[in-house]
Amino acid sequence: MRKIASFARRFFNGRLLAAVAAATYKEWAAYRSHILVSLFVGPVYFLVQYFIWSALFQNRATINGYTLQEMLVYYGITTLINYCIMDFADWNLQMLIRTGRFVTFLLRPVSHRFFALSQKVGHRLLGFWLEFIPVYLIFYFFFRLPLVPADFFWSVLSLILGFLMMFLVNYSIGITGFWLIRTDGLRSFFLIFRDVFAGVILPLVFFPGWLQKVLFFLPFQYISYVPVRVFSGSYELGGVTLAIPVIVAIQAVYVLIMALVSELLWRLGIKRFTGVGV
Amino acid sequence: MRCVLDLLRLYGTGIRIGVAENLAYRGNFLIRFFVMLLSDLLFPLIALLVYGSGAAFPGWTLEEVLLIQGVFMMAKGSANLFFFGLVWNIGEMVREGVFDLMLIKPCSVIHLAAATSFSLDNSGSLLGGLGIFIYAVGRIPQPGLWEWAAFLFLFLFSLSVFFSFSLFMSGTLFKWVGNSRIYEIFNTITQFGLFPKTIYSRAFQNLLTYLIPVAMIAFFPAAVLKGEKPEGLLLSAGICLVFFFAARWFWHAMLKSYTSAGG
Repeated sequence: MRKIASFARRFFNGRLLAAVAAATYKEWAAYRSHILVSLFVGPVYFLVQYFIWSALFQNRATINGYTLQEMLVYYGITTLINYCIMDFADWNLQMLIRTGRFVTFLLRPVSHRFFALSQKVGHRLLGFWLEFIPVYLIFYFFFRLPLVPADFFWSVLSLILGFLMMFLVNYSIGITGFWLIRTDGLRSFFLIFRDVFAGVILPLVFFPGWLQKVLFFLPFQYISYVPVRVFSGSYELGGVTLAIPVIVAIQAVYVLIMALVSELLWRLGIKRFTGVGV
Repeated sequence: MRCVLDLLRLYGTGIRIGVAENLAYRGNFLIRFFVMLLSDLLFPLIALLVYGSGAAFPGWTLEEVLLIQGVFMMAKGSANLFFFGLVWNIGEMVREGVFDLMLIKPCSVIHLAAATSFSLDNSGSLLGGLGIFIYAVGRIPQPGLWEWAAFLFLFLFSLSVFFSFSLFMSGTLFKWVGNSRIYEIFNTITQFGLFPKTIYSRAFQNLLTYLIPVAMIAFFPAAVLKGEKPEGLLLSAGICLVFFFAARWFWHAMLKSYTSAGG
């Protein structure tokens, strides 16, 4: 029993999470001007979308089932959700592996993945009040976007699952650092795919029908597209319409699968790590 | 004349070193080449998907929109290949405290930083843009000699806008040390240049033409290639020159405020 408890503690430890998250929060608070860039980037990016879609909707009431208002709300929620789930675990892990500094983590009695997740919690807590809240207010009052979740409980749950999914996908990409010396190319490649197939660039219903069906089975839509649709109160992809609790349950299953994939990759990759000369 | 030859030699050496570095990590280079190609094809992809769903920018065909995006990608690709890396170079040197070494070299810091930033993987973006451009030009009324000459002339102005941005950005990094998000600010501002200027409100059109000449990056060169004489073209070309000299002045002013970290 004690062994099981000790094993579980390696993967979840509330005190460690709080301590690492607090340290990361303080560390990044020193660079708050970096985070505050979002107050310019987010609204200006949205402004470009506003002009693009206003022009496209000039002679039409709907495009692929979206009205202009719904499209703007989609981009508004996508921007805000990305502030909550944003992640750079991939960059961090591959940097630690490449420089050999990762060896110090192997000596610690804690899972590096959990440590990295705790860092993300701290970083995003800071992002929540420096990015999410100000940009939300700009969208709500300046652009008049009705950004109110259809169901608060399911929206928050889906957002937490999206947060975990983003972390697990990125962390798995970072693990490729065990095999490759330079991972920038592969990382950038995955990140483009992730953003396109997560619906960050364009709602997924704009893609051809066959691709939408494929996307349903890939993990990417569970990062951003599903939380956005849950926030809006309806889900549809590839001709499949699902009730909100059902799609959130599927999202949870995918998070579990992704956790297993990341664990498997970790076990394969860690055997290749050599911290020579560190 | 000797100064120009020195500069060419400097860029020649920078290109040789850049290529050698790329070839040392061939796998990563190939992936990055395709990534640059793919990432810049995102906007044409969006245009294709949106036009494929039956929607359109009023007065603009898909080919015309692709022409603007192709020109944008070619200009950005050329800038990234030959000089835009100076922002990263200078930013990293300031952050690591080794920028002082640049100041004691017997040549222009800007040119040295630009020449040593050459990276062949950025050619993916340039080739992608060229592909889109050739596709689009083949589907609009064929431009005459005059249109091609005007286009090439304006393309130089387009590159000058990128160069000016690189000076503003690297100058800012003397004070705003290590902030990689400056690229996000740049990408957000220049994003306006990926679409026809006419979709924006009048105030924004004026802003993009007469204050920050983003419209010169792709809209104006593409418009003259189509045989149009867009409103504000000449004034905007003048603004590009002012923008360039302002950027140069800003960079040198910021350099004066640079404080060494001790090497």
